[in-house]
Amino acid sequence: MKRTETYLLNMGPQHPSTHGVLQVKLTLDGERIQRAEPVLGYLHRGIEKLLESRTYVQGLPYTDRLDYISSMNNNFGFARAVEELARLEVPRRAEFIRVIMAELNRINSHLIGIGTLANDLGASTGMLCCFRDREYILDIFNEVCGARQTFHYIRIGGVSGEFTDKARALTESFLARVPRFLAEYDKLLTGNEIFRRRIVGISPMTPEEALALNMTGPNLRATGVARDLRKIDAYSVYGEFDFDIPVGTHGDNWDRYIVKLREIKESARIIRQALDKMPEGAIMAKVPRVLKPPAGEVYSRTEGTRGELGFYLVSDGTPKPYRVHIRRPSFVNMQGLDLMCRGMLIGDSVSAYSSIDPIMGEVDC
Amino acid sequence: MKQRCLSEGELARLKKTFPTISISDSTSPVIYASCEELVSLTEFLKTNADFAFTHLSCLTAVDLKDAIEVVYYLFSEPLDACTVVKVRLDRENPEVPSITGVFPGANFEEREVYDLMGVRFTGHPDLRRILMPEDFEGHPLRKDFVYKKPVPPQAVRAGAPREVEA
Repeated sequence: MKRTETYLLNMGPQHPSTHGVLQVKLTLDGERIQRAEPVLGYLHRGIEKLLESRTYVQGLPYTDRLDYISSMNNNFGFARAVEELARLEVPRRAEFIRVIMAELNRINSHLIGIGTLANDLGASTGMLCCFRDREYILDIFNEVCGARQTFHYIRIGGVSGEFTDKARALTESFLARVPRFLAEYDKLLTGNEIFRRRIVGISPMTPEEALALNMTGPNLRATGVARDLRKIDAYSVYGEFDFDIPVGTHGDNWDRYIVKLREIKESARIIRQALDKMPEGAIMAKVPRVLKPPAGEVYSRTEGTRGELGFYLVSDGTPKPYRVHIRRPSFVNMQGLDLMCRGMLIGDSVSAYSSIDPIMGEVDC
Repeated sequence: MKQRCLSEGELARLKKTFPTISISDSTSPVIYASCEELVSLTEFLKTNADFAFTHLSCLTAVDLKDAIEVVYYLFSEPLDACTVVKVRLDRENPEVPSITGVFPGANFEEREVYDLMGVRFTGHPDLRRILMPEDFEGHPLRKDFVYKKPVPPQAVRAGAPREVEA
């Protein structure tokens, strides 16, 4: 008698394409995925608890280690939340430097996202090209703060170091490279028939599904919803820049790839305008040596590279926060994985992981 | 530009529909709901065309030592407004209805609150620990949580307990 049954396949946490220590339990019917259940927590370090026993200033470097690919954006989010809680005014020049750093980091993060997607689909050259171009961004970060990762550059009240002439020259030469390397990716990846066949129409998602799952960032915009906090909230000085929100149409892996690619272009536009408009002045506000925000709570959200990055802080008037909660976009977006993988082949689940682009440091916190 | 809070008129309307909610009268009002009303309140806020709080941005909990508060931050794009809903729970037996029926995206965040704060969400489709190991005891984000240091395996083999208080 013929009999079929589903079976369980473990992907990760040691699988090279699961981006860190993500484990996914796949329920399979033959080669088709019936259910994908992410198993999280392998990188849980208890950052929320650690922040409760440190002052606000001491807590800032921990945010570098959340989403370690886009540390600048995390610093930015946390610093903004504390400034709102302590009612600090940030100098205008510092805001411009912050925006430039956040956008450079966004490009950096999207380059890694695109590169690892290409690598997971067997196009190692794509990965090498992306990492080559990322190196120029790291040179700029190295110039302003002396670090290539975990920068701790955006501080509460401003930024830690001056945006030097050399940093400006490096940024200018990087901006000149952007159209060149984007054209190269178009030739190498976007127009590549093998690459296209692996991602076009794979793991589609409707806007309703993505909104119901609270998804944000490029994953949401790929479905066609133009929601970007840089436009909606226009926080910091984002309201002064002219830029578009790229959106997709089908919400498949292809759209997620294209949205990231086009966001690089838009970020470069913002950096160009910020460089031209940057005023002179101080880069750090007067911050009390012992920062004691008044009792109260604040929820501040910014557009991180992977979506809505929110910091919920509760202060009881002491130098240490009473409670910190971090709304991590990767963590919430992981809920979409099951839906994206259903009905797909095992091999396609790999491109789903890559295009959803989770960073496990952020998912597990 | 920060989103505005709900105006007094809008809050009064809400109070009329849900008489038992209480609203804190600070500059940024907080809606305190009871467990029984939470689901119908969030559903009303989400589906009513005048409010349209369709985006649940943040779901978390705070241990206030005498109670546990579950916090919901909701955003409305048409109103360009933000509202905070809180539920106060008994610390010994914290139980609150799950809002996954209204916001399916609350699934992981409710699991996280259950895992780290020990709040049980009744009606949740799959309430299990999400970050800590399944056999972990206690809820780390509670203020009275005591960290236990693991003992090296050699010492355990020699008869020591598996964990000691740090």
